[in-house]
Amino acid sequence: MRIALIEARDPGELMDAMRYLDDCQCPLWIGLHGDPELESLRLDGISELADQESAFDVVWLEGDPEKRVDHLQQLAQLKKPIVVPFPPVASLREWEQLKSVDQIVVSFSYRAQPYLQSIGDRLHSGQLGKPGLLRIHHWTEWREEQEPFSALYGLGAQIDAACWLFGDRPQTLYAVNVPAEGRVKFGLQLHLGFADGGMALLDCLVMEQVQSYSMITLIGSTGAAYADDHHNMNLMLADRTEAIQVEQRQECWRRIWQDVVDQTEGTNLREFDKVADLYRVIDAIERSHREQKVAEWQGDHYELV
Amino acid sequence: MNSSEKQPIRVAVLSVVKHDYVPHGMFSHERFQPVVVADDADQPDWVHERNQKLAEQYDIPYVRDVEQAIVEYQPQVAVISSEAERHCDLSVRAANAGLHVVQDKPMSTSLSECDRVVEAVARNQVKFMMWNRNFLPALVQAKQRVSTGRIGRVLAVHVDFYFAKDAGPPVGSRSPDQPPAAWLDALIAAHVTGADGGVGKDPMGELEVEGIYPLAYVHCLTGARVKRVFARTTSHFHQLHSDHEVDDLATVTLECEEGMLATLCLGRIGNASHPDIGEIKLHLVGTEGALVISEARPEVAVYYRGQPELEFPHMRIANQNDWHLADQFLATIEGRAESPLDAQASRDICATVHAAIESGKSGRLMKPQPAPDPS
Repeated sequence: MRIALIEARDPGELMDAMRYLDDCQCPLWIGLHGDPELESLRLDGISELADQESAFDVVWLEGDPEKRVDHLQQLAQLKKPIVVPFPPVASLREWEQLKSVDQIVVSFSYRAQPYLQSIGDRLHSGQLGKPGLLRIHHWTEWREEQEPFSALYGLGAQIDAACWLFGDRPQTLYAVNVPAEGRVKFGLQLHLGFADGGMALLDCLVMEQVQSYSMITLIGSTGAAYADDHHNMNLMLADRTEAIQVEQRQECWRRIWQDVVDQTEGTNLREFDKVADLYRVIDAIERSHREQKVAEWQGDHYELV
Repeated sequence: MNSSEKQPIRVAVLSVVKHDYVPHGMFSHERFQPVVVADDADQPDWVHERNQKLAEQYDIPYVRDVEQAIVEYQPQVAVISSEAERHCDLSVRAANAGLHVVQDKPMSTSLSECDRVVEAVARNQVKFMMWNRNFLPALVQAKQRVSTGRIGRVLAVHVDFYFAKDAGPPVGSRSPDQPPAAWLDALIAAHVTGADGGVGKDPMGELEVEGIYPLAYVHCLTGARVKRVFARTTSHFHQLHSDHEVDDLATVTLECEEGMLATLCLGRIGNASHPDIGEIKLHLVGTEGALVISEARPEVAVYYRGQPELEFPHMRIANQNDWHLADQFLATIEGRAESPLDAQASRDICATVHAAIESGKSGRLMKPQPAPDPS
């Protein structure tokens, strides 16, 4: 699988992770990066891709979601699978504009987290029984370029994970802000209810100068799974004791690429409705915490009650 | 003069059908002296048997008349661990007799009963403490970090409170032609293994029985009052809970004063779901940082050939919760400190729990019922 990278935040890291897969490589890329070793593979813009059509099999598209509609429509001319991380575009309205573009694959990178993969595997193998409760804490470090927009969509990835584990969209949701004060730049707590009694609490937090932290607990009817950075920290004892995390990013990217390979080799390239549902959930979250009301799924939309 | 040279505090245990760890905890402190176990004469045999057993353990009399026992043995403190419905009535009677009160969870199945206790404690100028876990070493550490401002103003507290115990057969195991198990009978039978949570005549969900503990953490760490509640509840594991339409799994969102947020995950998740008592964790977010606390720590892991299946391989150590609770209550009685969990705070927690149960049923936001106007 030859993957062309477009506006990837760190193409070097992504290419590095491809090494773990026998048949995965990056023959060319578009965007900005300071590494001179990668310069020979760089193209200046999407328009140049048409001349290199035989050099790649799949396009990986990142960059500003606000500009993706144009990019996706342009790339659609190439008739090759286009993989785009969630959120693929800025709104449900834009997503619906792309309904006729068959070759878009939305990648949910959060699902590729080793923690989540491992829990999902055990759940789907039946070892944990019926899922009852999911708790996620996902705390990330604030970056200058990060807008509340992307943090909210970061929560979208967790919602996707919850839907994946419970096998359906949430029937009810209630969202509450954590006040943006001091080091807390963005905080949103989401309470989801699924059919048949399932429930989830998703905690998305962006903090300044605070190391990232992740915890996922899934309680099933016959077993439970606990994945927690707290448990998985090592210690460094020097001038002062420091908890140090074990790096999982490479493994995460390896799984993302494996997923890209698997999905683009399949016949069903995307699940349009599933992505549309996530936009509806995110819209309902915004309305829920703005209006301080519970949102309920009513046939084809969320209604505040 | 050190504390052991001071006069002992005489304690009456008023009904001990559920958790004998409450009186045992009080008696771990040298100042509290058991003098009598008492209960009402009209209680069923199994209640008398359990009361008698504790009396024999401490070599003190068991009297089948609460008021007579108070007159005869002149206790200063009542420790109450009866069926849940009787908690408050026994507390009110003890307070009216001038006794300070230590009470087991839940405070009551009825909010109006809690209000009676608040009124009786205030009117009789006695002290009250709900039994809690706020002096576990990890909680003391968390409290210290919060009190010294290490994480700034607390913006959010998230508590996981899972206890890995079974409660009879799993949900879905009863065939339609079998009658549901009677609630109280099932819990009386479960006493042998310590799996009897909500002992009482009325069925109680785990939120009602155990909710006091995580909510007491939130109270202890922040003191914030709850304004609104949203909850999801279900009977996910146990046939007993399902048959009686009470929860064994719950999630709760609490909106508190000054924009503070708290959440709870709580459940009786079954023996198989954790190697020890259960995952109990706190995540605190403040304006200057965050804390992730495991309630079980410090602990020592012990594994050995022939280890009983139900023995917890991780042993908690350096745990002086019982002694500290008793010591703090002693300080409360002596006017040197506030009760770690007084009648009003316990009543407010009970109101929050009731709002959460109601929200779980209705799917709507609920407000905890305010305390009645004292006038």
